[in-house]
Amino acid sequence: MNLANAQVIADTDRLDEAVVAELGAVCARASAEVLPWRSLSASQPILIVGALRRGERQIPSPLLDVANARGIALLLISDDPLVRPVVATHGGRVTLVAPSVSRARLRGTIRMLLARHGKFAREQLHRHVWTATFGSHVQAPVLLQDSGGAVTAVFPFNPGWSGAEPLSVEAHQIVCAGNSIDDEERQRQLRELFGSVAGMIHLSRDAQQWTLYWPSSVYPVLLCSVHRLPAVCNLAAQADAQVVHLAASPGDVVVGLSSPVHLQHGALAAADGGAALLDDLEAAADKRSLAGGLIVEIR
Amino acid sequence: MTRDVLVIDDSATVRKLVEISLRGRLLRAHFADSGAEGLRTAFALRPSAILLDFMLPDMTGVEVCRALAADPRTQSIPILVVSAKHERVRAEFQPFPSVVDFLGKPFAPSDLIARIDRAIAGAAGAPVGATPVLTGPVPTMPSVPLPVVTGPIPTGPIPTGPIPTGPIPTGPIPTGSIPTVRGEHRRDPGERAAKLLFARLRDGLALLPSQFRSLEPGPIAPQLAKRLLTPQVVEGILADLRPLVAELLEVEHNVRRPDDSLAGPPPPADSVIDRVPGFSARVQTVHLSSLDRRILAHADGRSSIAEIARRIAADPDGVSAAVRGLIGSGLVHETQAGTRPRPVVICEPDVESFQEPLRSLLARRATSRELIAVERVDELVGVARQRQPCLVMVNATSRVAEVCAVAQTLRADLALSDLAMVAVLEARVERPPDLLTAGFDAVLAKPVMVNELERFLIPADLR
Repeated sequence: MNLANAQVIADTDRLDEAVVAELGAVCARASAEVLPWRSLSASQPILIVGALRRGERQIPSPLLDVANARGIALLLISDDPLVRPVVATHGGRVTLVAPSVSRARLRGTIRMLLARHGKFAREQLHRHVWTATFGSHVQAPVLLQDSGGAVTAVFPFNPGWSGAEPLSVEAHQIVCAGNSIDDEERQRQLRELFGSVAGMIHLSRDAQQWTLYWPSSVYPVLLCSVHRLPAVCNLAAQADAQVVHLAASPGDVVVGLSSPVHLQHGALAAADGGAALLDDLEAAADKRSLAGGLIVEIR
Repeated sequence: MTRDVLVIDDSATVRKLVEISLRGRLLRAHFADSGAEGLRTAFALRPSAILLDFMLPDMTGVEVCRALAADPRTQSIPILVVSAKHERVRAEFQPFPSVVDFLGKPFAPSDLIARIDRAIAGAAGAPVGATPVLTGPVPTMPSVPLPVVTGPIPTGPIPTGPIPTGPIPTGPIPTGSIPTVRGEHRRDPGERAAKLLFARLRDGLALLPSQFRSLEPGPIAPQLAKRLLTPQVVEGILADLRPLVAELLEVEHNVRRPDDSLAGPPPPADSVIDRVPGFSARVQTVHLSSLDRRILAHADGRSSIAEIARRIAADPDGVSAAVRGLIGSGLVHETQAGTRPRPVVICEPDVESFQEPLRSLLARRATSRELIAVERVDELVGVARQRQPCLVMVNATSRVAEVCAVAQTLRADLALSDLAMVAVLEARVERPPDLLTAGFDAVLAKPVMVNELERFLIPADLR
């Protein structure tokens, strides 16, 4: 992927003006150029944004042909209501957005699709998972993502502790060991590895299960989803230095911090997604004062 | 002076009968339907007499007596023990001098009044059962002229057969087995009682001399009737029938098998059936077959008889016939399809983060459902019985024993046989309490995934 000159093609004839405006604003932050459909042949876009009219049940042929020929991601704004407001299909290459989504959700979705570009350099997008690290590098969590899509993040609770990066590989192996070790042994090994100086969040390869080792109740780790009750849940209170497993589901947003800061944005993350939360955090605080943390969202 | 009489009996029939019997007399009835309530009332009221049932829902009569005897406020109050097996239970009350009399069920109101009067008088100083000593001259019996029958000679048919000699039988009409009370006695207690009384009256009349048997079914000669059925005779018959009424009401209290004899023809297969209001109370006293139970589990105001038959894999004609019996028993009735979906009941303290989003989710579903919140676990049973929810959710993080007891009660309730129950825990614990064996269908930890709840709501949508 060419990160220097990212280009986005928008089917401006069929898109709502508000969508185009939001697209322009987000692309500006990603240092990406928005081009009209007619510029397609002369450009190398990373994303095509189109519209699905009411009752339209197939991706329009011109969009499909281009997407297949060049391996480009598609973002389609649907006129029909959807069961879930944002749905990723075709292995994450096609993203459908319902007409009822909020502006924040729309901006966040575009931001996700422009991960790694411009100001979104610390964000990554995989088939079903979007991750973003933020805040101070001093105490930022170490993120490790394997080729299968499994994600392991280690959160140093002590600013002077430098073991997060080297130990994240070992931690990843321990959690990915599957049935070869039982939970008791897994817990023992993680406790041996981290003690109480670091926490760990892991999302399994098939995005089916969260695994959490979090030996502190003061460092927040939120699980946010409108498909859960309650929609925002601080797992730190549950973990209590035990290895906790939770079924994962599309729409889940996990937010972890390496600082004992009270995070009030859980409801926003549940409603509008992890990228919207990050937008909000960045708008509210100077980046240098932003506590180190990580957001993982299952699309 | 009006005296207070405390009646400790869980039978509404007996309480009603006592109330009627004491009406218009210098006795004021107070009622308690359990031993605990009876004791509380007795200590507070200090009545002149206590009418005590031998077997109460929470205590035995002996235990109540023991508690009354132990308290100086109540130890001298005379007690009349009421029991259908009064002869057998007599020995058990031997240690309690305050138990002055025993009354068998059924009892005649006049007998009840006499015994209460005797008990109160005994407590006031007179020895119970002592014959009063009369002094003074022996009174002479007033002469009463015999009534002279005048008027024309009746023209009706003359009874045939020999006129039996000997006295006309007196006393209460023999009880024996109660005929044909199945089914019909559930439709209208008044009608039922009247029919049974008539049957008993007929049985009693059979004991009368043969010339009087023409009372039933043919018309009685007016003059003969006038001569025979004097107010005194009628009053005598009614006095004898009163205990019978009490007995019949007891029968009413112990309703038996469903009966289809008065329910009309079997309803058509496309009829939608629903449980009647007050179903929970009625079903407790009806013995049901396995088929009845399976039908009742699907009687939800949405399903037709044909659908129910298909779901329970039973013969539609058999189901229809069984529904006729259930209608006759007053357990179900035919209704219009599409009545309001059954609600969800929740006992969860987290109103803002759990209850309100759930309420919103339930309202947005294709089959929207109401969410009824209760604050205390002990309210759940009552609310569930009244509102017949499809799903009950309980926060089982604390007071686990109480939650389990409630779950067991709900699970044992036949009227709630298709109820789904979910326990919610605040945190994912290593070894969750044994809630599944208490009757919960699932134990979910927060944050609960909504689609895990859908697993329990969708079957209810389809019913």
